Amino acid sequence: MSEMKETLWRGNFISSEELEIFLKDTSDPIFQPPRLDLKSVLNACDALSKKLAAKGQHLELIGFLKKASLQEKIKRELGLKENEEIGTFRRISYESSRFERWSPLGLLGHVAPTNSLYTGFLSVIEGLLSGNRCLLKTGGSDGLVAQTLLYELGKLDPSGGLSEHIGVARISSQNRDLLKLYFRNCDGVAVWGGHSALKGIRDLVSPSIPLIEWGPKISFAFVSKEKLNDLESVKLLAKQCCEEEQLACSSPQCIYVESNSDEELVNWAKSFADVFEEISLTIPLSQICSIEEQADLTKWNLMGELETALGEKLIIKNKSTSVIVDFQSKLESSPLHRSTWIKPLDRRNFRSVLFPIRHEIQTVGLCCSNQELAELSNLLTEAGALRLTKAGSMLESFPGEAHDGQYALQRYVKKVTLQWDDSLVGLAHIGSCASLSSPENKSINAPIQTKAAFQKADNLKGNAHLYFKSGGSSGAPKLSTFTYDDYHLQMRSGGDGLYAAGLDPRVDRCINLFYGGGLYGGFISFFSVLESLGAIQFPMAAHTDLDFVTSTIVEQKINTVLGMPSYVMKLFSPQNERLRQYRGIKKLYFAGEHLLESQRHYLKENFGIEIIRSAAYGSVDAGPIGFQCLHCEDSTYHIFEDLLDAEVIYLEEDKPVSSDKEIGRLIVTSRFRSSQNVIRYDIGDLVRLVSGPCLCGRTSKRIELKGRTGDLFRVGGAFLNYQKFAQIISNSHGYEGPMQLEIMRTNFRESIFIYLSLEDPTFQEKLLDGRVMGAILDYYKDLFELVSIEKVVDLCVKAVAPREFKMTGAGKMRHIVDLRES
Amino acid sequence: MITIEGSNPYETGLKSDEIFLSTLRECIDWHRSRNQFYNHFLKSKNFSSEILTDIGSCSKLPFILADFFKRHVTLSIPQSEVFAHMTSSGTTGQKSQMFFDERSLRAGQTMVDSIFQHYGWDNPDMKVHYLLYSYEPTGNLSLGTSYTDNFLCKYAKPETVHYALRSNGLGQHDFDVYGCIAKLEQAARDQIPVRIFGFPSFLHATLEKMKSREMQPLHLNSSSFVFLGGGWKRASATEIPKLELYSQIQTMLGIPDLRIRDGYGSVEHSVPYIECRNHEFHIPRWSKVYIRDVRTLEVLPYKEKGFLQFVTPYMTSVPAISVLMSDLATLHPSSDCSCEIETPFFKILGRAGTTAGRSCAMQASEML
Repeated sequence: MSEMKETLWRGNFISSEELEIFLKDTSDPIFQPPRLDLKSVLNACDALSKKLAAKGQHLELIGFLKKASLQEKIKRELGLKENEEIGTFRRISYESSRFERWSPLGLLGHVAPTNSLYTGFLSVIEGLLSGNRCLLKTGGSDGLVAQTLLYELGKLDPSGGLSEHIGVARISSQNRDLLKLYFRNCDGVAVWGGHSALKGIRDLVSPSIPLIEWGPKISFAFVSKEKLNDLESVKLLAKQCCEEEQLACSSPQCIYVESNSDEELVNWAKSFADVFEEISLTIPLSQICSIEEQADLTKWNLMGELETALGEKLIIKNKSTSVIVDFQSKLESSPLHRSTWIKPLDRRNFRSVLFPIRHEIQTVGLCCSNQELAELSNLLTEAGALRLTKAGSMLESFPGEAHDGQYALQRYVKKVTLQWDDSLVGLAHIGSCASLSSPENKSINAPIQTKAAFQKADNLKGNAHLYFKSGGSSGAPKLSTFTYDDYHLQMRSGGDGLYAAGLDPRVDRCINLFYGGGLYGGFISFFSVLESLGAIQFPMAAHTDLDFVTSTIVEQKINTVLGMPSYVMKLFSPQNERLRQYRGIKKLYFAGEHLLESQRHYLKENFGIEIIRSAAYGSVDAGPIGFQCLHCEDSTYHIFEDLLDAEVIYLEEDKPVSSDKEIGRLIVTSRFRSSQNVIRYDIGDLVRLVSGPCLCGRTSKRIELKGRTGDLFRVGGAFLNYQKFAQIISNSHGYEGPMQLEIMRTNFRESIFIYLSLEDPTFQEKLLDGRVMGAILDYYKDLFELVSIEKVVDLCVKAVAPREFKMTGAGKMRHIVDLRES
Repeated sequence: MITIEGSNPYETGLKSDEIFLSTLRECIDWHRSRNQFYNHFLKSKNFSSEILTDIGSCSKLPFILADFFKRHVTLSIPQSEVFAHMTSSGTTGQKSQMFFDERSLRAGQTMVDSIFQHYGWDNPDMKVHYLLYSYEPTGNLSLGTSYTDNFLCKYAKPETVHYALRSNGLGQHDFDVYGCIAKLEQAARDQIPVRIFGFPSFLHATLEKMKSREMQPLHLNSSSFVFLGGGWKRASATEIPKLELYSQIQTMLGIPDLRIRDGYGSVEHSVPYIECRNHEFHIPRWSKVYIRDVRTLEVLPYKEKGFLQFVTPYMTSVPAISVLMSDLATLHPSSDCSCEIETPFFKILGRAGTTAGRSCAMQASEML
């Protein structure tokens, strides 16, 4: 007879002869370490779920395979955040350099039980979710459901990597030689089945290979004394005993009734039996598929009749149901298919009665009052129960629920630790999440969204927990939303960034001076960032009583300041004599605005600050985008690749810049914003890619900020940049105040007015004698050509009172006021 | 009065049927008048002996589950007449047990005598080595299989007796595979025939061990005889293919297929069923066999799978005279077997499902 090719091996169907050849070849890719990225597994499962739903097949699997429920499962079982993967060492302590990662076991064997259609398939899905290569053995008389589904799953991963991790063979338990060979190179074997199946595999595989045993389980219901006359409980239990013909291991096989009286027990059983039959007749009966099961049921009934004749038991047999009342409490299995024991049991005897079978108890469906729940749940837990539900809900489970008291995914991975010395301070994880930072979400087809378009777009999903005011440079302020999960994810990365920027949670005493309240995100997010680092924090916010802030800093020996540059500059004013003398602030982390070179210099010189870094580069809409390690130039940032994808796109054209020489727009796609889509969002900043590795060792993409997109304006046919003006004035004359450019068109000529603040007294003189104008023309070659050579643009520098600066709706000073359009 | 007569265990015909029927009626009355439970049971089933009009009506005698006798003691004799109390080696808390009076026990033995004589295996003058794949007796051992195997030793003169399952002095038994191999080697040298009785799984394990040690096949005296009984399961709960074992025995021990037989029996029903030369279980004249639908419990025609039911009048200690076994089986007409026996035969096809009681073999096989 020619051999059927029904063994699935790395995406192809092969014969069992071929299987033996492959199994003996240890260079076969299946025996190499797994190279599975979680994203592919999740996407393929999600696609399979949709496909099954569309075809109306295997409907039981659809919910389980959905990406969202699998993500929930991973989060609960492995404690992994959405932007984390198995296989990345994550710092677990800021006290010393200790790191942990999950690692898949490697090659995971699975032994499917004979009584369940999907368990083998689902076990493999769990193996893949935990990063393993998987070899499934199905029973000699099983169908090919698992083979077909896993073949489909493999095909749904476009990279083809997934199917490389899957093998499924139908092998009879009798074929022990082949089974030995099959599991010989496994790093763990998950076994589902009865005791004899478990023992069979135990004898088969080497003791050095961990066995992950999922043994047989039994479930029962309990009716407390208080609920003996509750008809609703009876109905729920009756329905429960019909559901899935009791084939699930969480279906009740025995109903314990809390009664000391035989008469009461029999009466309860009689009324139950009536309702049981009545309800059973309304629920279509599934045919018993095996003759052995039918034989078992028949035998149970026959024995019940004989023992009823002896007066030991009472059988109540109806057309479609049967109930045997036993006056002994010992837990026994029923033959299922709408049959149940009814036995007496006092709650005080849970432990003693259930003791012999305590390792096999799974679900207990309870009929009791809420007041009894504390006592009963405690007693039942002590007696071995693993799941407690209301009667009627015994079969319901939730994503991420432990299976038989264990998280399956945790049993398929191991924890690896790494310890190092202080030279790793600043690193939150080792290596990058390679697969997470691969360019999946760049969704090349999605249009780039400007801020205006983004704010107009209907991108809220209604599941948000947190609402923050977003800048809203034009007109009405808009809200940006986060779920708590997403928020904490961003904040933890923010913490990683601050840690990279030299904040040392072991010793630093930090004062949080960001603005808070009024839906602003600054204060509250840096509160969370510091909390995620476990750093000492003084939650001052941008308090107006600068004396109080100063004394707090001095008295509390604060050494680290976090705040907006404008507030920080006010606090560190030349008049703040106490701070000048204190010189205890060593680190300054700013965000929200740029800090000019001259300002940095001033702060270092006068106040002894040693490290001045950006606390984070980001926006309310997009969340944290970048951070500065200690090796970054002042305007250079690492991208938070565990949060988002970043692209640099030409100014004039929607395509990526071709080299790190070119300035482009920064476009971000946030991966973990479930309450709001942030897809190809033009953040409004001009950047340049920084090539080559960073000295800190991180491999994440780096950018250099080159100003706002809005800082760019066109006059006389050339592009000019606001930032360049600011830079020149700061560098040549140490001007640190505000600057606004006003552009006008008069008599067919264009003119640029540079407005500077009257408040800087040292600057007045330079302004008046033309030195400022001279410096700008000297250092800005393009402008010089327009003004002095081509003579098409007029330039004028003026000092004005701060109140004359034109502001945005959100209270920020506008850099450029272009009066030409109107 | 309920005795075994005649010489051909597989006799058919009117006379044989008449004897069976009248003995059965007698036996029913015996139990009815002595066993209150049984009397109530028959009443509840509206049964009276008049229903048994001919041999075909024997199926109408209400049956009792074999498992019932494992769990409940329901005697039709005074306690003082209990001659043997046999237990079956169950692994769960509940050992199966059976009570015999002297008459019932002797009846069973006489049936075995009769079959052994029929096949020519009763050779009191022949000297043989016994290799018993059963439990070495200790003081209080009452396991059914050991009793059977000991009793089988009377059909030939013991030169030596060797047990495969040795008492370890701690109340348990260990499987002594090397002792078995040594015994077989000795028998090959001295050419005294060997009689091998007992659990097939352990004999299988012995042959496997010989193979893995790359031993040369032995050539035992061709009058050697293998008579197996008990479970066919091994440690992993997988079945040993019977014919494969037979061919292994022929190859490794040189015993001809004709002298390798399996027996089927249980303490709940002590009529022995012993394979014919084609390895089929024909029904001897002391019992009737029916196959019942597992759902409706109706009697099924030949070749349809269902519960195995035995009816026999040769049991007076307990009312185990119409017994429904947990085994699933099919029944076949004698014409489906080319041997000379004219009675139908049955094939065992497994046990009832998930919570099925375990047979004797499981505990023994766990020691493999």
